[in-house]
Amino acid sequence: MDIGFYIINIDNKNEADNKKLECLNKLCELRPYDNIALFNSTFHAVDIKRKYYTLHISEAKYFKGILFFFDIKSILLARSFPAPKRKVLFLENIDWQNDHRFPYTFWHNIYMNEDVELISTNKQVDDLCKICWKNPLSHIENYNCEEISNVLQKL
Amino acid sequence: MKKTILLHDASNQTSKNINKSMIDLTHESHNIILNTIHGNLFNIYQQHKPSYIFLNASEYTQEFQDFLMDHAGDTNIFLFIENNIDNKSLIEFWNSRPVKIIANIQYKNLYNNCVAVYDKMYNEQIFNNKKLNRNDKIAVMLSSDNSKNNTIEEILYPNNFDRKVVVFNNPEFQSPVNLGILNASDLSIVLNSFDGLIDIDQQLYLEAQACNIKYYDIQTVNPKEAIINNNFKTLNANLNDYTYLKFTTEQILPNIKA
Repeated sequence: MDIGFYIINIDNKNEADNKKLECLNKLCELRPYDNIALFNSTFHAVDIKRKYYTLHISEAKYFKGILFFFDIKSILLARSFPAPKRKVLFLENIDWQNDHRFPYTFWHNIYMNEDVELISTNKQVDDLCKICWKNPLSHIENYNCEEISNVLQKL
Repeated sequence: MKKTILLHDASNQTSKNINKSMIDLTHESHNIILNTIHGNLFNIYQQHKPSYIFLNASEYTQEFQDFLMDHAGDTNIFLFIENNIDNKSLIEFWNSRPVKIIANIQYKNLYNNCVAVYDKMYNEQIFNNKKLNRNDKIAVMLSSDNSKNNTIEEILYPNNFDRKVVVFNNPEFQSPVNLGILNASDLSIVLNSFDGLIDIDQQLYLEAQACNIKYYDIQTVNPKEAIINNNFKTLNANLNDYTYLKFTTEQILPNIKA
């Protein structure tokens, strides 16, 4: 299986970014026969245990595997990517709450897109996702790589 | 030679829909100019000499006033009255000029020369039953007056309520289930894909009926009780009587000569 994490900027001071890299490394251990890649543009971290491939974000367009996203900006950039078999968005924030002047279709085209599966990362997001959009594929906190691995079996 | 009709491209939905109907009905028999004519009215008049000019009171400017002073007798001027006009001297001025008024029914008595009167209308090309699969959610169309929206607080997240309720169309209303603004075609999709509708201002009953969505009756009970008791309003208007096309055909076109 081909698995990719699409993270545009990685900052070593950002705890969430470090957890994502840790998760990638653990995933490589859990799934040694899978191709696991990080698609990235700015890498401001030192990952001495790196077991995954690193490619520029522009390569993700032609990546035929399962691609994970972690923010709205990334999923918008990937909207026209023809290759990924599935796109999975980790919902960390309630982005639609920030500005209610956006047209409904803007959010609808992201969260109700048939090509995009959602994963909630906390209880509030999980509840709101079910109320406002669709049932998340799973609820995973702290980028738990065993649970991500289980989700991959469902896809 | 074809006569020219000048339509002001006003921003409100009623005018946009009537303009569309005008274009559909007269584009073969007349030359049509559709333009946001602010700052351009005298220029367009000099260049094209339109026989019929449609202006909007809701976007009335000194330019419109000057044009009415100078040219009210030279061409046929129609003025849409969409809102209540507080300025009595302005109403007197319009009543003293050969200006044809197209008024919302609430304000028709204020004007001497009403050639057409409109009530609630809907666009049948956008709002119709698309027979889509419906989800289990309830849509709330908020009022622009936030004090009227308090009645729905108890059915919204994070309050515990066993139905999924989301709200639209008031960016000032602070709620994590406020999903933003709907334009007409998005509203049509919502009315065709949600299970029920709570319409705080009771303005969307024609659109709701056309899309066949359950319309909760919140005039007699509060929204929570209406949902729990499945208290729906029976919508049985003859929809064909409320289309923009019918209004334009029957009330405006008789004033337009080929």
